[in-house]
Amino acid sequence: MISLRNKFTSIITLLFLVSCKTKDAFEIKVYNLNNEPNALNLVTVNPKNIVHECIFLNAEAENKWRYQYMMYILNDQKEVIPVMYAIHQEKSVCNEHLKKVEKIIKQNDLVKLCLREILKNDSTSAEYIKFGQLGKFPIKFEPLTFGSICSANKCYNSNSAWTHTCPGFQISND
Amino acid sequence: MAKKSKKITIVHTHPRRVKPSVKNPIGVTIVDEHLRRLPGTYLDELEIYKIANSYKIKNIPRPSKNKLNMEGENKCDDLIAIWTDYFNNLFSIKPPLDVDMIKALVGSESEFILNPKNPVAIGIAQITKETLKIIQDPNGEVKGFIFNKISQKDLKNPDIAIPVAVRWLAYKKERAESKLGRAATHEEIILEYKGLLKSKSDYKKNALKKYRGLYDKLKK
Repeated sequence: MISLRNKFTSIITLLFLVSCKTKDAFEIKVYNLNNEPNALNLVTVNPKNIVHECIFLNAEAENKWRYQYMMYILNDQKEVIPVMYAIHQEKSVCNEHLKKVEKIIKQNDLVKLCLREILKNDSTSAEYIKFGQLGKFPIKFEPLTFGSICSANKCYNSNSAWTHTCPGFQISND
Repeated sequence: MAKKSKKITIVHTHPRRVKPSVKNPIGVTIVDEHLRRLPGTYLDELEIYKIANSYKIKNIPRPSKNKLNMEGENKCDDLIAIWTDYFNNLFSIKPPLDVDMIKALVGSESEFILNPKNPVAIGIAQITKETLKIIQDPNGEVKGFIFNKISQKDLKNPDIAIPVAVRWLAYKKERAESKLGRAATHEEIILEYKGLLKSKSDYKKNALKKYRGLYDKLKK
């Protein structure tokens, strides 16, 4: 009887661990665009592996308005993939974008992102990004371009400028 | 750059006929002495349309088409070709501004969206309100060749925004070369347009990434 109970406990523990592992998932699928192979990346990731910010570019003179939205995704190899918004934005517009993304990543255990460009290694980067209690990890790739983020029941797109997006995502009408 | 020639003339005090009124029964008023810019030293909306509509575009360099997978990526190609050629010739720019550089710049500023949400910068080339003032100031940084009576609303129209952007970029090329003390590369000109050539920002590399990506695709 005790042995049976131990087995049952082991199975429950194993199931718990497997389910935790699933929530830590990082998956990347790559798709071709018309004339650009591997230029669309469909990333599935746990939101705790995402941090994001609006960075002031400190440009000169009449360009003081420029902010760059940056997202950082920690992959399963403990390497950071940077993601940038396609164009510079004024501070309030950048923060508005950040809040929309934040709303999706705060309420979900897994999110899907459609990101553009070919993922390339960046051996020149010496930058580390802090992911809360997970620690600091190095940027190992060149930035991808933000397109869309979706949870199980909600999507936010900033891809109205494009002709194609990842399978299962929609071009926004903005 | 621009040939040194007379850009302004003095209009002396002279009488002007007006509709007679109780206040002015003889119907003549005196106009004080003032300065007037000579034709060919400025562009207003009417002149912009006149030039664009009559420009011979058959043999001028045009930007690469259909390379970017972006909505509306070709819609300003004619305007880019016309105004790049116009200012290259007007200012005798050496080496001339490259049409693909301007197309990639526009893509990196707005993704070819006519008026991206931005309370500070306007239109497809993201011209700031401050820049609009500078390019219309007869005593300002670009007094050699200015625009006249262009409003913020006009900049939402690429017919106006593109010539303004190309003229501004021609000036930025000059500025970059003066800062560097040598000919500027296309990336350095773009960095100057974005106010990042001499910025100490750690994000200069990323700031140029989008432009570089678009430019490389156009040149493939």
